[in-house]
Amino acid sequence: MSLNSRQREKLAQFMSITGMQDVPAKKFLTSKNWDLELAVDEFYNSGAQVSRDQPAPTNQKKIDSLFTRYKSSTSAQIEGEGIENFCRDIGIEPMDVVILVISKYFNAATMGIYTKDEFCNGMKALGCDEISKLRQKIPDLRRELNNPQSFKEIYNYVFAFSRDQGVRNLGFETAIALWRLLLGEKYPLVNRWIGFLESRDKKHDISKDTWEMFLDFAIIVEREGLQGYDPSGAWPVLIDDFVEYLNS
Amino acid sequence: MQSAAKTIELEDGWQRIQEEGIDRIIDYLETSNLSNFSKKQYSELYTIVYNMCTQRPPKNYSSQLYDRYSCSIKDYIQNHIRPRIINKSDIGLLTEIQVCWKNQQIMMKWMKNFFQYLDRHHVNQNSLPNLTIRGLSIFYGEVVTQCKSKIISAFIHALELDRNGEHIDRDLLKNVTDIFMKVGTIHKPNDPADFYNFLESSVLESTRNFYEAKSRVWITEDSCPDYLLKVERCLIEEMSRADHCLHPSSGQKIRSVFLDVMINIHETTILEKETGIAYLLNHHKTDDMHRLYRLTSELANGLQPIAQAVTKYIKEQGQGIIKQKLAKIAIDKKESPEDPEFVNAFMNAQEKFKSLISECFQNNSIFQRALNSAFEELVNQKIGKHGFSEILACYADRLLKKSSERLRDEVIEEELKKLLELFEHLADKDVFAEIYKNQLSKRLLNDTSASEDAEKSFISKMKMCCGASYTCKFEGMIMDLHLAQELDQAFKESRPDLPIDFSVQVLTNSHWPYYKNHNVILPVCFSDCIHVFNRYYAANTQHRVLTWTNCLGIVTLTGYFDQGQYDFICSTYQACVLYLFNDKSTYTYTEIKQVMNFDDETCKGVMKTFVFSKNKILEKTGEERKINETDSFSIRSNFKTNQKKVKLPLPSKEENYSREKVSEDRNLAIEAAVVRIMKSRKTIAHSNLVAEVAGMLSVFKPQVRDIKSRIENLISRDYIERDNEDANIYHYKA
Repeated sequence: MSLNSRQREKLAQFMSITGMQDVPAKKFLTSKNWDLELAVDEFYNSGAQVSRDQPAPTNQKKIDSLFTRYKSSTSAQIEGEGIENFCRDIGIEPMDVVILVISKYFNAATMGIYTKDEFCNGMKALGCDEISKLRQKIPDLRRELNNPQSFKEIYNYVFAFSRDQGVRNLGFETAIALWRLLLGEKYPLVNRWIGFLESRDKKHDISKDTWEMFLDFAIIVEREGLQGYDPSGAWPVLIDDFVEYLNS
Repeated sequence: MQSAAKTIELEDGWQRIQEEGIDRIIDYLETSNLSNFSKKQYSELYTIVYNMCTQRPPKNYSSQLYDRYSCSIKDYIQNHIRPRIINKSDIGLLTEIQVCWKNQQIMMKWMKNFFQYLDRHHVNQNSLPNLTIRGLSIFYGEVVTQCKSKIISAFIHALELDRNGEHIDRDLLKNVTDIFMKVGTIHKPNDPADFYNFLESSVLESTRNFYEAKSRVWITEDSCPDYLLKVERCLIEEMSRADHCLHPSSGQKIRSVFLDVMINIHETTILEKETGIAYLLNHHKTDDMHRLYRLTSELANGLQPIAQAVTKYIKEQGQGIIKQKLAKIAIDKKESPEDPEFVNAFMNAQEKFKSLISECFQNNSIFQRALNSAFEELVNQKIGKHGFSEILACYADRLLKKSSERLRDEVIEEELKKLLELFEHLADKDVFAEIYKNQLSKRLLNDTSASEDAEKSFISKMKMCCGASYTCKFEGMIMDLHLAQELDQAFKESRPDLPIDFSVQVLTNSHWPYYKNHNVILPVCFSDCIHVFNRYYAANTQHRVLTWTNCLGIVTLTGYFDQGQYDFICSTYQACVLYLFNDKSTYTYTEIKQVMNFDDETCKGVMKTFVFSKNKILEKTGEERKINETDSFSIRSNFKTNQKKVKLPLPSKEENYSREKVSEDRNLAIEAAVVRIMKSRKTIAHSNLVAEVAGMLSVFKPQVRDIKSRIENLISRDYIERDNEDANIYHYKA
């Protein structure tokens, strides 16, 4: 079966989103009548991401030695400089979103610090014991940001990861930076959201609930426009105020 | 029976019946002269029938006699009744029908007597209609069905004549109605009234048409009160007409049709006339409004538009009072929450509206609601700087505290009752409570309450309205005061040797308003007494913590001046400052502040009362109308006044209440309600939770936004969580 140009384009998109080979990818697309969105949904619902469930076997010693390479000279964990080196070695900027995905694999509790347990268990979960392997895996990790389900997990994880220690809420400035980083491209609404937050007199820290509900809100508005927002729903007050601000 | 032996032939028997019975009845009916049937004649005829019916077949003539009975009746109708009515119409027809019906009844009565035996056996055995029904159905078939429509139109014509004032014989119409009802058993044995419905529906239709025409004319020509007057008069006439001419069941139907045509259809027009409801309300046309109520109260939604007009009227009147107040504020520039005139105006208005509703609208619940909703709107708006809660609380304070223009107890009771009626409409009763508590505290502690009975009576009224939790603190305060007096008495008896006359009021902290306590330095004679009391209290109670609220103390102090000695009644702080001047005649501001451990605000407040009030005890250096930190103060040794006792003004009062405190209390109340609901429900949808919280809080009306932010707060404190799938559903986290 030969493909027309539009189908070829969709196939290429599908492969880049899912990381699949062209034959099985074509199967997904034809089963959904070449509807790219449905096919991607189907792909994620089918749990086709085998690699995530079963990480490749790793060599514990190799991982340990990697940890020592990046470990801070003054403490028993990887800190600022170590993380910068780590990023450089795997070929990403320290401000790249994908570092959040890696941190999630590490299950890191606090930004800017990887403990030994976090680093070692995380590398094992990623199935990588060499820097080159991790570097190869980056595109896969980046794709996880496209999957709504795993993106939501990462997004929610980021909240606890990024807040200052011993504080319940996320600092105002940090929250804004993270929203830009995580949602800025996907949801243009975020820019107006940030504008709204910055226009307010009181710049409160952001609660977990507001953080999590804002993603739902952004998704709904992206899909249905502001009509998708139900004013009698259980939206946090800050989001209610935002809608009022948009309408005025 | 002897005659039984002799068989009677059909024709022989029938000839006797015809001649001796039937012909005689007809003769009587036509000529009205009757030699009554004697018992003998009657029993002879009966016996003939009996015999003919009991002879053995084929000489048993039951069936033939039954047929001949029917034929005779039919013959009678055809020969004697039909001709009488055939060319008649209108009243003539009705009159004839009435006579014919009467004759038919007589005819049938006698016939039935003769042929009785048929009913007993022949009819029963063969399941035939009995003689009466048979006779009636012949009448129905031969007469009624033939001229039903003629009778109905004659009937309606007669009614119309009656409506137009030409008196007609109403009994005649009633009789025709009866005929319709009786014949109805033939028309539909299961539903005898159905036949009457032909007549009734025509009557209803003609009633509708007649009054439709009338109302069209009147509604344009007449004013609202005139129209209503005419309608009511017509209604009374129409009801009496129905009562006299129609079956009792028709009365209500006529009434509905009439009211529908005259009132329901035109209600908006009536109410919106220049002389309509607004006019009636504004000009207190009580009779007219009551009439309007009488005429509309039976209609399905007849009262609603009137109630709306009443709500609007009450709101306008109320707004008028508020406008006057606002105008006064604009002129005076000074705005006090104390404005008895304004409250009085409002209370009088409320009284007026209540009597309006009872006089004109029989206290119907729709109008009660109208009154309530209007007042809820009026009473819950801000008037200038102050809310109604504040204004009402100040009015209560004014009534309850001692004053020179003291009212009689009954008047106060009456006023408080009226006040409470306004209070009931408040949406922010918590604000009222907060202010009331502060004022009650002031009255009790400064001994300015005029009567404890009045206080208690007002508290119990609030309790009736808002429940015990609303008033428990107030009750606690009054109770506290009694206990404090007892304790003070006991203390004094145990220690008669104190250097000064020293009284203590020990109160329960949680019942009373919060007073900011400065850690001021007291003169030794004060602090000694405090120590003595502390020891006494500790010895007599267990696990009690005593804190001294010095800012509420009252001291009587004697001052010796060049011109004589004076007693000063003042606050503890004022006394402490004055006391300092025993040691030294001049102090700088900073010295006083330091020695007393005052903050600036308190220090300035206290010093002002000495140098700026009517009785200037101290004189100061520096700027004249302001206290600066560089000033110094000294005793005015030539102080003089003609009173022996001088009451010093207290440092200026703070706000009546703290808004922050109220909103804090509200947040707590909302959170408590949310937790209580979540605890019992475990899982609940957002909108239900919000509705239930709003329903649970009676003392104030929480905004949805406030409820939401409390829910968010509880989420972040891990009391509740959102459902994973549906963010609109909450779960309680135990």
